[in-house]
Amino acid sequence: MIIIFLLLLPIAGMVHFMSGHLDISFNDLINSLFNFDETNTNHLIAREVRIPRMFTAIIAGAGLSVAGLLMQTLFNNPLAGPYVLGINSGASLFVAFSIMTGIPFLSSDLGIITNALIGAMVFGLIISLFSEVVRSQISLLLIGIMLGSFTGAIVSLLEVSSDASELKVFTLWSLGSLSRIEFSQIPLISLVFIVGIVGSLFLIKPLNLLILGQDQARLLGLNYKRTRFVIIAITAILIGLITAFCGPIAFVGLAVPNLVRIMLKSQHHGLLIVACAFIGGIFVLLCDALIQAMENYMLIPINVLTSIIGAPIVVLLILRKLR
Amino acid sequence: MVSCEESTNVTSDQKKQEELASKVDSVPEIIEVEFAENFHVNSIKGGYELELIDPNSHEVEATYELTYDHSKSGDKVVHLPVKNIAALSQTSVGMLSKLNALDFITGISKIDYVHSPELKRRFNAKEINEFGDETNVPIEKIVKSTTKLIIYSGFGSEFDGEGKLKKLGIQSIPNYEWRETHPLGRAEWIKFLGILIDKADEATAIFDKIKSNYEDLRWKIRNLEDRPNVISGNFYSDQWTAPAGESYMAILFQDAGANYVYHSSKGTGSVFLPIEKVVADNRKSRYWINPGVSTKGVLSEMNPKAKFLGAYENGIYCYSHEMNKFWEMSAIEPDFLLEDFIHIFHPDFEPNAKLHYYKGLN
Amino acid sequence: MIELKKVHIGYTESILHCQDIKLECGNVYVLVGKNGIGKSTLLKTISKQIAPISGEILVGSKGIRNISTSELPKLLSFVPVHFPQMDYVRSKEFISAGRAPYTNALGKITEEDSLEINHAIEALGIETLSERFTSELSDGEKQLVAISKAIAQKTPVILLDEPTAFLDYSNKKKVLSILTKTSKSLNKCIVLSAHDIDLCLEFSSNFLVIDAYSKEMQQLVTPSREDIISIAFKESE
Repeated sequence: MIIIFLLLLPIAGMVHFMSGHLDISFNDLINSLFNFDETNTNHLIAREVRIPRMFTAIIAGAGLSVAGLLMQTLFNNPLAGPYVLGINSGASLFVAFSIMTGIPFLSSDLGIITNALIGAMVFGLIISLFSEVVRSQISLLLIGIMLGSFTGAIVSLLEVSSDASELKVFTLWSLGSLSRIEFSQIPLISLVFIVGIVGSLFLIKPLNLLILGQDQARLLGLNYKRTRFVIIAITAILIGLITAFCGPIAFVGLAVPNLVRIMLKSQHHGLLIVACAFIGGIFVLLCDALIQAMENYMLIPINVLTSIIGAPIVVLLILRKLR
Repeated sequence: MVSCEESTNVTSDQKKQEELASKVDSVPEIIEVEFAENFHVNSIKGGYELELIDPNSHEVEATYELTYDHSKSGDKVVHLPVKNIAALSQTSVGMLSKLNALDFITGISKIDYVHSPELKRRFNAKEINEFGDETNVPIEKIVKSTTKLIIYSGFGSEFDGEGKLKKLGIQSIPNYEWRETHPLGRAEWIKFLGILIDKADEATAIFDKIKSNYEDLRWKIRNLEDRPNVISGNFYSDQWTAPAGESYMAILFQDAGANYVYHSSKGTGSVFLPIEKVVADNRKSRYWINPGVSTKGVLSEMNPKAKFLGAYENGIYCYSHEMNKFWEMSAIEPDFLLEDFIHIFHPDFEPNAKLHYYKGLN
Repeated sequence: MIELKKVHIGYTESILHCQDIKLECGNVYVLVGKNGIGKSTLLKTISKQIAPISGEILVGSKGIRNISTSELPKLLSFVPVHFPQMDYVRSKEFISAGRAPYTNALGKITEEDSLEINHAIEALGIETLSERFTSELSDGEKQLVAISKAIAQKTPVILLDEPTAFLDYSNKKKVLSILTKTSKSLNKCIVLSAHDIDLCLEFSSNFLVIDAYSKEMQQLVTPSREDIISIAFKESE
């Protein structure tokens, strides 16, 4: 299984690479990494535009999918996801604050990541507190949607009272983009991403127990509160990172884990986490390849395309459940 | 004393009455429209017929009767001269201020968007109102303000409440100046405002002056050999949005002796370009106009790829530091815009000239 | 194995109490009482899901208050009334979850663990179910898998909340007989709540009966059917 993923990811990467606007040879790609010539336009494009974009697509897809999986298992709800539960909007709210207050530290890269992370964490904890009170899955989703609308309204208020250039930066950010990351940022982002993914691998046992339900998991020795905190922290790291750099990207975190479960017919989280990371990465790579291929004809923000593909998948899942 | 004043008033009122009566029965002088493609004016008995033209189909979209005959009434009848105007479009404010007619304004969309110090003063003295934009007009506030006509930026459909306002005797006309692609076409809309406030001759004179300034400038630079490459717009999401080759800005760039990189793209609106293409095309472009921000700090925050464009070091110019001035006045001062661009693209041409709207980004 | 000392139980106020009761290994105890009287609450209290209002509960020889979250699952397993609804979990995987208290932080199944899992499957004779998804099993099969998981957990105490509730007659009999056999062969202390008094009498002589009026639970050994009914379901006094 893993061998298939290991083959598919580079193939998707190549499709993404070839869907770019300019004809750039594979040689240029390699040279741009190991033999970079700044005056060579093809090198520059490969290194500063195409590679970071490919990297971002993989990180965003993988991170969102794993985060979605963690949320679905934690809340024992296949329709949970960072977006639906309002965890994205927490990150958005804090980013909006950090951009629109105009304080330079807050609007630096590190400031935005930190804020997105804290926002995701705070909203994750809020939703988990609600999850103790409401036992119904639907109610929790509704609360998540309410959290989302509420923060949306607060963000609009911030927008009204902020000056034009701050507003512009925020509006751009909220459109979602895979082109923000620079080549030089790749190491830092990889590090945070790996912390998130490796962290989630240490959660395999608790996640497998949570499948049996909270009570059974506790009776099998799971420290529920601590586990919940760790799951939310890791989700916040992944969501915070991706939200900070790519803006909100909807439905990946919701649709991919469900697809993976159906494909693998398993609840073993070791397998699910790895598969979500790969399939998520491949999914967003292919979405973005499609966007690049259509670039000459129309502008499709990544968030729009993932919603167009993701929303019907989610509806199908619900119908499938009801049957 | 008192009676004396009254009597002069009476005589001037009488005079006005007579003037009006004479206009009701005559056909006014023809007003020619040279550059603007989206309106026509025909002279008819008692006033004018104003035709607004759809820029896509080139057909008449709406016809208004602007008349001195106050006995006429109808859905699209406006009684001349108009005194109290709610100028919700920023360019109409600029044109009225060029006509020295700011005292005709009873309301504006939002004080935050106003450049004119005179209007700001009148707003603070509570002589004019804020009505917001046409998407959400406060009907009662407008009625209370004695406004007779609303001028707004039209987007091809009526705004909510337009019908109600008409029943209350408040007419509205969309301003389609922004659809004009020729810089002089935009400025020519001053004639439309001139007719409304009974200053048609002044408007024509102002426009003729602008036109000759503009054409003189073009003539002067016709022999400059250097045509630097220029780019405009910015990255939005994952693409670059730039003015299309037949748009207002593109024409200004070409008229100012530059080579607009995307001048051959079709259309009068915007074109969307892949980031890779823009970076590849513009590594050597010398100038970058209108990134939409006023500092390099914000620019690099907004889009980290900006630094790969040739103009990044010292070729970026924008009006964002004085946005209100630009939106209010630039449509009626295309000669100043052209002057700015010539100075930017050809700094040696008139080295002592000062920029009116633009500023280099640091 | 289990000792209850002057215990009052309930969520906010006492709904059920007992004097000193001792439950031994090797026996199956049948908990009988009216609907809603607190049988589930009692089982949840013994399994430390709810704290008692007063009194002391010992499992092994230790008060449950002093048993840690990681220690408890080695002493006591709990089979809830509803089997969890899960997609794509095979019976064997579910049974393996019973080994969670013994595996390391990454949940690695050792050779010993697989041996215990296979034992637990053989003990219930459900080899044919082990590769099937639990969501596709019948209620009776689910109950067997749930019991098998409790056996894999290798605890001296097994609590079962109405294990016969959704089963047909033959499955009820099967479950009760397996539990009786297990209690003897593996020397376990099994407590189950049930409404099938007649059937339970065939398999066990140890009953915990809750008085419908005084709400006191008492231990009866080899009671008659009438004894049980008169205490647990009396109409009025």
